[in-house]
Amino acid sequence: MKGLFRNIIPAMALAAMMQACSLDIPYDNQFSDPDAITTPETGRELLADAYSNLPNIDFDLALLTDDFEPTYWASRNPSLNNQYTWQPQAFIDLSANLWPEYYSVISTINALTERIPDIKADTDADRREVADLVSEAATLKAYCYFQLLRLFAADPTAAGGLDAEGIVLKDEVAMQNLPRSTVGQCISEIRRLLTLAEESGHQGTDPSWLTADATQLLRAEIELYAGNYAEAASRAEALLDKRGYGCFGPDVYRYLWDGSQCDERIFVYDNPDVAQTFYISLVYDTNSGDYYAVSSDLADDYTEGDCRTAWSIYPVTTSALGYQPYLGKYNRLRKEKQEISLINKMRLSAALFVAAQAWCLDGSNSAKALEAMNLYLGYRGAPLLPDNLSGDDLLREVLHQKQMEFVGEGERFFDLKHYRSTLLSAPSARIPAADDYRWLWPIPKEEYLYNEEMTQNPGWPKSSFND
Amino acid sequence: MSLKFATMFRFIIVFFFLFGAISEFSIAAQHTTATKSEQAVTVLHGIVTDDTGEPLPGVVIAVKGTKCATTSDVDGRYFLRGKLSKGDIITFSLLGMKPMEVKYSGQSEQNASMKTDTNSLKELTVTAESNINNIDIRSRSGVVETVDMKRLNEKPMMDMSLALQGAVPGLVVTNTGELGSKPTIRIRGNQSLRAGDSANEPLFVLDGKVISSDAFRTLNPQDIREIKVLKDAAACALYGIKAANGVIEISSKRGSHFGAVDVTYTLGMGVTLKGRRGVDVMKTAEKLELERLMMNEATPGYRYSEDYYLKRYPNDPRLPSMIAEGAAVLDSLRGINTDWFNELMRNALYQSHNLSVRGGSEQMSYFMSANLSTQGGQVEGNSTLRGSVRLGVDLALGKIGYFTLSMDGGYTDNKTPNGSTFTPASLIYNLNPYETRSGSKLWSYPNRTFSDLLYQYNSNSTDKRGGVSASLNLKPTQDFEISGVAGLDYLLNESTQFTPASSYSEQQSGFSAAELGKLNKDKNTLMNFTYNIRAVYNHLFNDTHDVTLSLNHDYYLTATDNLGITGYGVGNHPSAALINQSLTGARKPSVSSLKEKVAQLGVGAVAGYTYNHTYDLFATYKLDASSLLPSDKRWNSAWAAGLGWTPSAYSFLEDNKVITRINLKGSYGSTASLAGVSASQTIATFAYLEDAYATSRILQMLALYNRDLKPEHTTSIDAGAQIGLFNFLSLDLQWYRRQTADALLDVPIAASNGFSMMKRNIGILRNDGIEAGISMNLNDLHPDWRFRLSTNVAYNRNKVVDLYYTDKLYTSDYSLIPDFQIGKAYDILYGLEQRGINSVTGLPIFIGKDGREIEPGKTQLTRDDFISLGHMTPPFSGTISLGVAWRDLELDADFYWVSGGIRQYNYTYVRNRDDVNYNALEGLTQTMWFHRGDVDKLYYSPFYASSAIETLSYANTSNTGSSDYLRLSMLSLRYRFPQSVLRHTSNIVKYASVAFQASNLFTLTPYNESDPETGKLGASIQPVLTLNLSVTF
Repeated sequence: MKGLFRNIIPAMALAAMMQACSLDIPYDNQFSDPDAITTPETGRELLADAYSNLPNIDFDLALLTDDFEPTYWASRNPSLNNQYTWQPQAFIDLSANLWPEYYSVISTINALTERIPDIKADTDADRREVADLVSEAATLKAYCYFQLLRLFAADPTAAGGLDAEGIVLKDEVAMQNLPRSTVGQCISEIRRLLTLAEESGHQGTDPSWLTADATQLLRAEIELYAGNYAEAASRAEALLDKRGYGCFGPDVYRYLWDGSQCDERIFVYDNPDVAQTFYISLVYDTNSGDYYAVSSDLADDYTEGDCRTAWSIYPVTTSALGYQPYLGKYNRLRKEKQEISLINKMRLSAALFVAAQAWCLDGSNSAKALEAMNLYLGYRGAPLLPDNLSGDDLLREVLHQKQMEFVGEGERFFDLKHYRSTLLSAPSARIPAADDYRWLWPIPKEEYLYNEEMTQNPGWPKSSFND
Repeated sequence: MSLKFATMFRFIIVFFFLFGAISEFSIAAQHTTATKSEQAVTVLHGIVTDDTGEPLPGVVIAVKGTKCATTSDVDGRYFLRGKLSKGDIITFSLLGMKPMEVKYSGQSEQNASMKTDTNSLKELTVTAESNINNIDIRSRSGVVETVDMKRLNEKPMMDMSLALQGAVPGLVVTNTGELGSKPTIRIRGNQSLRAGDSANEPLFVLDGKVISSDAFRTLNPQDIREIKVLKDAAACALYGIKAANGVIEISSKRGSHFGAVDVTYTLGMGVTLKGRRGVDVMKTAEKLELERLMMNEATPGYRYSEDYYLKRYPNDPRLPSMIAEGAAVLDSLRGINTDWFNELMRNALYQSHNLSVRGGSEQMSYFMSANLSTQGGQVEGNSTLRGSVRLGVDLALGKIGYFTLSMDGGYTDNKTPNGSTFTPASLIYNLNPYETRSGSKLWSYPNRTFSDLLYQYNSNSTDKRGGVSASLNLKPTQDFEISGVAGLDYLLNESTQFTPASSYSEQQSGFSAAELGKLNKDKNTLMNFTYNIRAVYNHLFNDTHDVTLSLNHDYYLTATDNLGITGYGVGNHPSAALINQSLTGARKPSVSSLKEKVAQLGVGAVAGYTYNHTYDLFATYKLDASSLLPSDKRWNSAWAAGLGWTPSAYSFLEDNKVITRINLKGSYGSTASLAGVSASQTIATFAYLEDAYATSRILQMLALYNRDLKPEHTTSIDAGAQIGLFNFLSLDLQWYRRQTADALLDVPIAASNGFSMMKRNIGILRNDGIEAGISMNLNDLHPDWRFRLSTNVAYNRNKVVDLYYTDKLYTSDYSLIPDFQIGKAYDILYGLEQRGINSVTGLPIFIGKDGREIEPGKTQLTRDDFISLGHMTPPFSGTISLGVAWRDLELDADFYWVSGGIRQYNYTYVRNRDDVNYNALEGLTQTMWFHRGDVDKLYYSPFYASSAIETLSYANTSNTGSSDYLRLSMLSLRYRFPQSVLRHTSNIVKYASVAFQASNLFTLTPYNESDPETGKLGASIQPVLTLNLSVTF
């Protein structure tokens, strides 16, 4: 009995002490593997970080295109002026931001993908949510790859385009120095991701997240980009059929901008803290005006009955500068001191333009393209296209309407790049010729300095520390 | 000001309360001693030193066979009062020293020089020791240096860490700015490539409990009995991996066991001076001429000059009258000559009150103290105040042990007007001599008046700290001792940063009145909990083999809990209650929070062996785990082995008159360190962000984790020798080499990884150095004279030995010069070689690679154009300290110097055309290039193109200077009132002294710009002059 006490008491005291001195102390706001991402909720919260970090490059791209013309104030901002005039340094600066930002999103998606197998899903609702996460992660990654590819790589439809150098395909959360894959490999990877997203299926309808419709639209875009017109058209048409042309009506259209629920919307960027600064760099001064206004030719094409007009052009007449067709959209919200809470990333009209381009480029379906365009324009309240349009004339008109629809949203840059040697060669003196090196953006220093496998796009500097 | 007095008042009340409580107790204690010596009280006093002349504190001086006894104070002085009769034997005893006996023959003064006792170990008795890692065997083969507390106490300085500057060779303390800013403290250089305190600061231990460096700064030097600096692996290994950067051990003063009660009051009153004037700036006449030469219309010197009118209105008929009017304006400006250094820098007050009570009996002893100090800074609104109280009680537990209890509390308040936009100190160089405080509009700050510049911002930070520690020392048998210490230290830091609505920046911000006035308020708490248990077995076999074995277990817990709020709309009232919570957008109120707990657990073993007092062997192993890291990386070890040899212990050298002591020692140790590494760097770790995406919170991965991350691995080799000669000279020489393998650093990685940086093990770095000291004590030359001189030099050199992935490492994409390079030191300042100013272009001529000439703005620079200009950290530092005493008058002086470093000049006062509205360096009109053909100029053209800026801003051979300096860090002249005088106080006063003391009185330096230490214009270390009075009752 005595011996029992002699042994048990010190043992208990020791155990109590060891318990008190446990080194497994959780942080207040830090969660480490393997206990961090274990539920569908935490998975969603991690994915929210990927969404939230998506770069909003609309303004930067639009400034490079013929959407804008300088106002009197433009000279007051040399850095915007450099960008507007396609100075190489502007591209170097843009790449230095965009490339790391997209790869940061990709890295977060990879982190989620690695952890999805460990997420416990016991109920049907949880299993459904996990399937949605798988689908969204794949679509979001495909979206990032597609953006990077369009900026940093040559067009796949150009001669030898598929074998040209693409971007880095990254699947692991680990430090790696990876070489660039070919454009063909990148497109295959994007297709694989989108197929994975489709197979997993997405049941949601909230446009803040990438739903099945977003996957479908992205697939249509990538097929058009890759020159697979029939597939692009059929996917876009399926989406148009599903949502209906009624979405293009004026009542629905204005909801795109004022933040209300909108049937035309497919995917929006939904972080109001970030959105409130969107397009702020266009403004020189609240009272004086903006650095750039919509190109006067383009502004003149908007007609009175067109529901796009009021939201695309914000006309201001001052004694100093006279009439200025400033950009509407988010810029109008700011000027009217309204909150900017959502940034449109994908909408049904994009599907329409994919289908229309695909039908035109296919050669045999001009009539179908014209019919779809006129249906769309009718709902928008814009003048219809003449019945006799076909071939390149029709395609040119499709691209023009696309510019009007997406003015200030950067879409025009990708069209200028894609059609630079054909339909859209040198639309203004400022925009360089088709063979100019600046159409392929420079790989940033932040990449090539540390990654020996990395190559630079032609014409751009690639210095090393040892120079 | 009123607040300061209110706080002071509060302290005085608290103190008197405390004092009242203890004085009753002490009167009772005194009573017992008084009855025994009613008839004739005799007084004996003197100084006790060791055989090298160092004063010995804590020596027990007793009259044999009676209870009459006392102990020596920190200066080795003692004062024995009792009934003494001729023929009594006075004994001097101290652990580790040979006891001495002296016969009393009626003398009033008796000095003693005690010898080290090599046989003392067998007489080990239990002592009250709260720092249980301070085991005797450690110092026999490790490098443990003791700070001279007497000299530390002679320095009138508020910041404990700055007061340590120069105290011990190899301990480098560097001031970083104005009064109240935190200095950097390093022992033998940076052990890590990572900058900052978390990876390089030593460990601070007060009475066995770990305290933060901020808590250390607030300690009152007069409460401290001893500070030990542990420099090598053998000394530090007992503390494990926490001690990778060395340890500073502090022991507080304890009570006395000999019945007497000492009440000491020390007062220091004085002034703080403006300090060193950085560069001389222009007087009005020259400034106006400079403005004319630079042709900037925003300056009066050009705007009202003839040149301006001739250029602007060449054909205007009113030209002559305009010129005359302009001349009149300039004449009126010439009448003003403001010296902004004198206007903005101020002399302020310093005061320090210290009251302590010390007493007790054999069973129980106590020490209590209270301190209140204030110091004003060089600029208005900068000040610091400190109050502290301390209580230490030691209780004997029968014959077998001791229980000690220490409690302390402190309050520190730092105020500064220096915010982010500009500092009042910078105005000295910016305001023009023709501008005044009362003038309406300033040319230097257009549209502002002088009052728009001051009172723009203030920051107030207070630290309230409290701590308690208890220790138990038990010695159940002669050979076995078990001790434990547990301590808790709590620090509450409250800070407020306030930009009033009336400030210029707020007025210009464009927000409405309801949104003006910014307030930032933080409450940060830090709790340290420590416990440490140690069992020691020590036995002397056959009088020859001395064996020590010891085991310990320790635990440290640090809990941080911070909360901060930032809000707007408070107007001119720095109150969080006024924050306008209806604001949205950029000015919406925000909350920040950090809660963190970090624990470390360790087990260790020590073995020591001494043969015949001549050979020492020492080995220690410690295994530590930290909660910061995932369980597979948690446990890391530190071990060390040391050897010691003391030839002077051989019998043939014993009592040798020439060589009194020789001791040689060497050690080798190895420590793993993960200081500054957090979980997110080794394992995927996620944290919630403040905002949300759609309906979901955002969970973000904090860093790209490195699964292969290893701890830094530091190995060190130390060798040292100590030689004592002729009883008055001692030499000390130490050499060390400390190598850190797997050095950790955040390095840039390819952006396609999703992160720009990752923590990696990148290479090997090395610190080696030599420390040498000589000290001489001459006490026996003449009965009235004592002389002491000591000097030491420390040299530290660092080098990158290897980099694993490259031979040159750049930490930024845009750096032209590598941050680290194999074979090179890591604190090198690289720059261009300049050869004068081109008389045609007015720009500097830089000589690049292969002698090519570089034209700023035109020639593309390459890395090879840069040369090494020198070390940014001075490799040499040292102290010269001098003490002379004649009878009761003592003069002490300490000089501190650093050498071998280089620093780039600030150059903000060298103006160009765009900023000539600010004042400029005196003489610039003569030394600057203005016109084609100007030769032999020192400063380049003020009219350069913006493309040249980058090249011009690099360090070069002419815009850098040696940062060497020599500082009179302490000067003290003290007069101790002799006993013959004190006798007139009916022996109420035991000791009394009065002193003139000064700290940092002057700094001599070839660096002819700002402060060579801080590199900041207008932020030099402040000279303090005080009159000090100390009375012990």
